[in-house]
Amino acid sequence: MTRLSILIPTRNRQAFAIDAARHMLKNPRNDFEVVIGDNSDDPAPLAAFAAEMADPRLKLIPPEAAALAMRDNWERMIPQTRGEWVTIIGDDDYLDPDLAEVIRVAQRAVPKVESLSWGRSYFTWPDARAPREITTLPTRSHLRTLEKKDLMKRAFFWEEATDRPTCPFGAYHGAVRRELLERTRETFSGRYFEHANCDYDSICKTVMLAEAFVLWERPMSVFGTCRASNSMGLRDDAIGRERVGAVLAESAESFEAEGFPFPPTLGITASVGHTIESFKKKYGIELSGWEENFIRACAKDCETAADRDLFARRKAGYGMAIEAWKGPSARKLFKPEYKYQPNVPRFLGHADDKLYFDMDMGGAKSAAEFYGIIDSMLFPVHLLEGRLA
Amino acid sequence: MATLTICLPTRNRQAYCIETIRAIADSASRDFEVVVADNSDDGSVLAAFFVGFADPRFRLIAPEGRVLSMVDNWERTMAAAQGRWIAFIGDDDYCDPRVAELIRRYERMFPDVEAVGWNRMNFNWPDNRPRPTLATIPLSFDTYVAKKSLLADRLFRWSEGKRRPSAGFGAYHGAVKRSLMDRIRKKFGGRYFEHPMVDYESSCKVIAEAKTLVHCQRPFSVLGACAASNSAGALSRKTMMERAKIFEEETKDNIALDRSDFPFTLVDQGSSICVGVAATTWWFCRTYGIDLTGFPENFAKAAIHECMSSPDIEEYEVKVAGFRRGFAAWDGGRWKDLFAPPPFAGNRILNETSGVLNDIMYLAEAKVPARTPYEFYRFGEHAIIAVDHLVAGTRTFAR
Repeated sequence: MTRLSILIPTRNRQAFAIDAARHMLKNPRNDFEVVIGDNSDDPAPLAAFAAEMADPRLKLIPPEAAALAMRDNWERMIPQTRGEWVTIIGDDDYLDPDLAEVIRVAQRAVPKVESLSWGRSYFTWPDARAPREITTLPTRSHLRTLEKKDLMKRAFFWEEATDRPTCPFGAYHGAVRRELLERTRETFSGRYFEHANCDYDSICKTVMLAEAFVLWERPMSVFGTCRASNSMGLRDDAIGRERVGAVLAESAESFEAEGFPFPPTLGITASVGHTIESFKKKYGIELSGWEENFIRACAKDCETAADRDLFARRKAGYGMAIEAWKGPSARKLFKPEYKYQPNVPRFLGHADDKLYFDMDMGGAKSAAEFYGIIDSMLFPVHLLEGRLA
Repeated sequence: MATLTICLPTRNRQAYCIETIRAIADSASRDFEVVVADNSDDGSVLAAFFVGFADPRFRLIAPEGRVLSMVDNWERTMAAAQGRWIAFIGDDDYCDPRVAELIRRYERMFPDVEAVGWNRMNFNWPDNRPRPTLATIPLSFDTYVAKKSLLADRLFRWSEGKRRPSAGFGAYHGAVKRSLMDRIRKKFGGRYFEHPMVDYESSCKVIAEAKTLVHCQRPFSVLGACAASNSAGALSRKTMMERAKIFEEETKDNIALDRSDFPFTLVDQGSSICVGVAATTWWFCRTYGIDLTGFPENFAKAAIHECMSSPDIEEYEVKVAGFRRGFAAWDGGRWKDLFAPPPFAGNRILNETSGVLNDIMYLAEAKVPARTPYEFYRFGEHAIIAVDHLVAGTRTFAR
């Protein structure tokens, strides 16, 4: 039985997808499959890799005649998977196939679980990294259930948000049951993924529809950023605008939510805001009382800027958009502060259940290697069930 | 005069020793020296290495005509040390010479300081992993001035009731001021080191004598364990018995390990490191008139803790039997009723629970990309405060 399908949609970054898949297939378990959805201009590298591996756990979906929009590549992959559960990661990310064991244990503990998530860890590939970067790793390892109402507050009311909602439940770096995906398609427009920000699109729908949610605090995947990835835009403003521009070009008419005057190129908060607002508008979900939290998230998006000019540009951009959206009184609630202090040394060690460490620890050259290193530091997957007993 | 002498006594583990020398020599620091005291059967290996190794910070003492006991080899190493402070490590360990900078900082802050302790990382060499093993990295970095009465209660009277008492100070993986070492020699038997269990005997003397003891939570050294080390006994009972026998044989001219007033023997199927440490602290307290009130009760608790820490029922039973024999023979059986271990609680998952607990990171060693204690130290330094910030007293960090 295939318990888990790990989906890796990719476009023109074959080497990254190959590195991730190669590491995953080293895992001896038989209850997962790796499905690569190749949307590259050149199908040869991945075809050669699949032939070389000749592993029944690896499935390659070759490119179509013309390049697809990202969400269409994601969309076409789902019907070609066979796992009872599905998870999607980027080609420069990594995910541990032992997630299948976590799913098995979570289902025994919470039979109705339809959405599973885990702690977050982040890796910047050496090609995109500053000389010294500090990353964090959650060190708790409890298996917890979360209430839908609390997740709704996080996803739609921006409660406890950073520069984006802190709701990790969805198909992207989260696992969802196949039944839930099918119900999602039936409930919403006959598609699995609608908005170009497929990750947040999935979060909105999962939070609305899933019966039960389980979180394992221990990271099971790595969010990677390489020079070519969209998330690189979060680290470099010019790249960010270019990448968002490319996404917009793919889906111009459907990206922006009506009556939400935030240019999507402003930053991550504006972009995610459009995804959530589009979803709410399309499906007639009217909420009030979330606006102040959203404005706070906009301020945080400014405050992540290490560069004072970038901070000023974002502050002006968000300020104007907020005023156009809800008037001058709303703008008064928007109070970003430039906080970056390059001369204060970064903390290393353990605080607030997080490990702060130099990303170069162990000299990982890829997201998969990085996962191998953090895996040595984290609670072991094979002891999870025993601890719950 | 260098601030610190790192003493490196070694016997018949030349390959590890050379690796350790190279690791320490990698430091750019100039404020330390290393004394390598070779007690090997074949002195030519290290002698040949030193011919091609022109680092003035390092000195080699050749083997004598006969094999020395470990304590005697330590003694001559100490006699050759020239630094203002002394630290001993094993030949399969690592110590960061920059700990000299920490010592100088503490000397400025606490003029009476005579003993500096720090946390250690633990690392098993790849050849010493007969079953899953965990490496450790202490993650915090505060400084504590020790309360001597508390240290004495813990080490001499075992007030914690745990299988091993906390020491935290001593010449082994700690630094002791030379003037204190000289005072120790004068006061205790005319030698720097007397008892075969040199690490704990040093802790006893330092804790009894030092004016001010300062501990830093940041690790500065790595306790390495290779397949040939005594600490490998912690992973295998058979190895422990073999090592204990050799140890007893080699130290027969020193203080006797077996004492009629503490009849828990080291060379016994049911023995453990707990027994060896207790024999040492007991010897010290009896010899030098340290109050032992409460020790029997606490040692009984420690013995129970040792038994309950067994990985399986076989080891539990053999240890319980060993302690029973000892308690029956000790002081006319006066304390034997205190040793009443509960039934074995079931096989324990041993050395597999990686993760962070109490600000110590436990790592599944097989997955760690490090082959030596030094590589492991460099790896671990990515997650702990930088030496520069520590010795500058930096307290403000951005998260």
